[in-house]
Amino acid sequence: MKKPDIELYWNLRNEMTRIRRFEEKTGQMYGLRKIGGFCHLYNGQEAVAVGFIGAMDHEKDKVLTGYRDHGHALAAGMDPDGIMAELFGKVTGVSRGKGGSMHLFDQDKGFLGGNGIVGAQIPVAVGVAFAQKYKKTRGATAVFFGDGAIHQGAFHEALNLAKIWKLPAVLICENNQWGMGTSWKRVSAVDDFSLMASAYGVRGEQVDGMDVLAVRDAALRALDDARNGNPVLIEARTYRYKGHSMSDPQKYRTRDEVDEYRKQDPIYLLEEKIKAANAWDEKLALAQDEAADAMAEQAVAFAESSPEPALHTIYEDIYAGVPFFMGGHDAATGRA
Amino acid sequence: MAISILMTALSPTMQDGVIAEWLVAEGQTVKAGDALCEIETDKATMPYESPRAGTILKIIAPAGHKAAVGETIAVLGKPGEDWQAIVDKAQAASTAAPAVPQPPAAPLPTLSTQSAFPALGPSAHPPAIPVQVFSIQNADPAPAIPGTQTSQTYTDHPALPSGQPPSSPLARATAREHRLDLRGVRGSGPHGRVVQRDVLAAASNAQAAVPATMPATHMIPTQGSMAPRNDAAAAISRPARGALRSGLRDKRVPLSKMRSIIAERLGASWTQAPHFFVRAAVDMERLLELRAAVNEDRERPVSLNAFVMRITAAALERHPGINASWEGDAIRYRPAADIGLAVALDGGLITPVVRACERKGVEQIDAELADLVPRARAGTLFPAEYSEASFTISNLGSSGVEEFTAIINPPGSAILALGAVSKEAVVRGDAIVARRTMRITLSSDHRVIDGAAAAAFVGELKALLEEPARALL
Amino acid sequence: MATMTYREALNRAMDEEMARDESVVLMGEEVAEYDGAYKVSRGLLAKYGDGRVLDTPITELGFTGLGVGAAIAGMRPIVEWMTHNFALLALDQVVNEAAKLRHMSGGRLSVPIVFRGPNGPAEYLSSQHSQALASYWVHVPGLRVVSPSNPADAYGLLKSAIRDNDPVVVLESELLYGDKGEVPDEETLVPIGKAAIARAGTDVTIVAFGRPVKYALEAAAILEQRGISAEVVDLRSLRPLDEDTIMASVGKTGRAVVVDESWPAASVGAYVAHRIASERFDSLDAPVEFVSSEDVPMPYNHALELAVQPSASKIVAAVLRALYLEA
Repeated sequence: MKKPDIELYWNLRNEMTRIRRFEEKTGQMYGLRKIGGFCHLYNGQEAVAVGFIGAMDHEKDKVLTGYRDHGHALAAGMDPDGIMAELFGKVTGVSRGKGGSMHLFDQDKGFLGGNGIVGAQIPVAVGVAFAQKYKKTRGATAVFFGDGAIHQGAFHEALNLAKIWKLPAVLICENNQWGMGTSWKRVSAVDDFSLMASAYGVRGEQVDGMDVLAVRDAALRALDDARNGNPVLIEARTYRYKGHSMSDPQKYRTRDEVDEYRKQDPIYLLEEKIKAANAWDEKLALAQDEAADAMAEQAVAFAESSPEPALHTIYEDIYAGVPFFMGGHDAATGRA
Repeated sequence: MAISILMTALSPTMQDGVIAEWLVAEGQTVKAGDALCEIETDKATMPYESPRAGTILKIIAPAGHKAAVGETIAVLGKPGEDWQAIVDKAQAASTAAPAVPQPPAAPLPTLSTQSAFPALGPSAHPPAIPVQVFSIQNADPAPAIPGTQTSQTYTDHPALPSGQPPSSPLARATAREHRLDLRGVRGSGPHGRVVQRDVLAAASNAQAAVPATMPATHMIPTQGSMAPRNDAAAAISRPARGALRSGLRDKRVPLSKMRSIIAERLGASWTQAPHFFVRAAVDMERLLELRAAVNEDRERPVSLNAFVMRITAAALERHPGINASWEGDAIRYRPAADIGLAVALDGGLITPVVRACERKGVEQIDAELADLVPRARAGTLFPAEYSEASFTISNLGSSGVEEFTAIINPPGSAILALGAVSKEAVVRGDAIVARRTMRITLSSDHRVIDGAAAAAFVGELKALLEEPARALL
Repeated sequence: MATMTYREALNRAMDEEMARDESVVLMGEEVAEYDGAYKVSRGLLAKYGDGRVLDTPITELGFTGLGVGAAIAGMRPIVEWMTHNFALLALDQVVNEAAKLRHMSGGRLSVPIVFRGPNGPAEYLSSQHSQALASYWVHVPGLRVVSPSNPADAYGLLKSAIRDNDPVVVLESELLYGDKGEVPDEETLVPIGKAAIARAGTDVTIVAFGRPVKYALEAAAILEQRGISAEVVDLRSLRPLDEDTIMASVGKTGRAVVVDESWPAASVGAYVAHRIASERFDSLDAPVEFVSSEDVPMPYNHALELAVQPSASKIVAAVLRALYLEA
């Protein structure tokens, strides 16, 4: 048994707490109509993003995910102010108010989005891995997706490509057990997604997605394989506490089921481990919680006080060079 | 091959036409384009030109006969051809499809002669200018060409509510360029659409044909030659040609579009605007002397109307209350003296407008009249050139009229009626002298102009006309 | 000036750009060892190796998405679709990823990628393999779309496309690959967004792109014998569209015939016709005529498939309608 790295434990707790508090604040802001549209919260799944992304080398590794992306963005080190401002649709948002909740980006943190089409980010991520290999950066790419996305052709095509071209890609299926309102068991031919790797001659691994330390260990192994040209598929079994999105009435599952999983809450489980190691520090925990709350409050304050994007920005960020528009109209000015 | 000469729709709304007069006789040889007869439509009387060369074999519809569109009115062919067979065939065809003109297989040629009946002024129902077209029906018609789109006729697709035939945007632009009123152009495109080539043809034909077919200028007393007329005989208008000459006795003539607009507009003016009249006798000696001096060395003399308009503008400047429009809930005082001059036409009148007369010299006003008046007669004025007069002058002096009252021409609130200049016995000092005198009558809209204001204006105008030098002050 | 085929011109463009820029790679089905399904990539594997010329599995969505990912990570991939018919499988990656990533990221990401392959009817291929799908791409903001009609443009436009920092869809034509034409000996870039006057004229403007430009030129020659002077505008670029050139020509002639081998509804040609009607309303002597494919899937029978497509005689007939002349 390895000697527990207490500092790491506290850091992981801190990261997960930040995400949890940020998402709670996000849910609150959604309820206050400060945030609109599709908004998918990460509560309950924090161990996956924190465990995996925390194990990555942010100098050269890249992360892509689907639309439930706040947690990954924070785990990748993105600025909470810019994220919250993006959720608010403000020009100070990380995507200048163009992307919203589902489309967070910060290439300086190696975070390449935030994708709204189920599974579409997987081939893109494999392409990023292709570039990493082509340019010999020694970087790897992690792509997160859900139990719904794994049945998309995009997943299968991309995993095959990753294998045949020996690309440094790790595909992480966050099985939170509900593809929107459909239980994963109703739509999957297998009851262990890691088995799907074997169809492509890829190593597959299942990991407890509520155990941040287990995820981290799996990540370190997978990244090592990937850097050596062996892509990996990981199934992280996890659970989301909130609805699929903010508009989800959650008729498909019971309160008891959610409560059962809350007993395996990733933050609680980690705290138990810290306590078991006799390293619990109530004041430190309180300080982390308060700092996370302050971070979320600050993010909201920043978003609130940020300006709306100007109308003319609708014509920006579409083309690299001189922009052009079909139709002969200019909506911003009403000019033809 | 003999052909039927058919009554054709010469205007969008024409259902039938009356043969006013045959200009050719049976057995006579004609060239393509020769006038065969004159036809009265609901809009005008126009010559019907021969579609091709040949001999008039038979005149079917005599003068005075009303022929429906599509009816055979004559047969044209080579001497000796059997005209009866043609007529029989045409009748059989028209029984099968009564009253609908047969679409010609080929695009219709557009003819030149253009009768000018422009609008009196802006109206909800601008008049449609009759068009000069003809169609021929081959006595032995070729089978219809499927998909031929150019064979539609006006009657299938009436003109737009504006009175304009359907036209291509380019045709409209070209017509603007040539200052041509599209209502006078027959379209050769699908659904009778006037297309560019129609406009270009009409423009070049109009140039060639208008002078020959326009009535003489005697109707309009606007020429520089206007002089005091004591000769009553000279003042009597010569009779007009066409319908006015031939068929007005014991006859009910349906309204022309222009007539109905005149009726509508002036009827409305008379009933809605409470008219009152202020008269004055103006001593014209000084003005006529001035005009004679000005015209001494001029090839083209400046018209008296130009002088009167200029001086009226000066009076309007001093009395802006006269230069105003009734707008229901407000009175709009006009920014400039835009003076309309009533011009008589065959069967109507129109008022071309000289804008901002107060800022123009007599020469310029006269030059504009010299441009506007002939075009008024030719029917090629644009609406902007005959609408929105702030004040109107009507001059019937050349007809020997001593004085008369005129009906206000909206949106102006006053109209000035000028009688003939004639010598009258006038007291000057203690002597009775003969002075050339003109009677003027101002009709005013009492909603806008009160009696004292009208009187003050007429007094000012009289003073200025009698001593034109005052207008300089 | 060298005379070369359209296929060779495309090959030369890729060859020159791969030599010039190591971030340019070519991937697609049969592009490497087979030398290209239509031999457009002939010789490139031998010259640049299998690290830069990559045979993919038959997974249009997968390798198109992979190309997009490589592009946002700093490469300049050329993705060859064996035909645009098959690209429908990759539609999501083009529309939702390539065209949107710059936008969704607030301008943080660039997607310098080329998607190319034959589009439009070929012969005896029936309805799944003979489709003109230009409007699928032209519809989408964030993309650029070019449609070269001749070898010189194929060469110059593809080079510009590869150097462009935005995703560019290149519409080639199987039936043009063998066409020969003069291509400048010196390196030449044809700018994206500039139409060409393929033939000058005064009476009517024929607007076309891609293979139908040939028909338009044939029609213009026929019309010349009737004394009608037709100007042929070759759009070359469909997005952006060179409206200046179109409108200048129609402003001059007053009549427009638009030719598009796509189906009529929601097509590039319909859009061009709309723009002409809007911008040159006062110059038009006739409604804008539109010669498109018949609104049917492509039949296999040769006479039938020819009847479906635009042709020189259909264009001539449309021109005569626009001029109010009898056929």
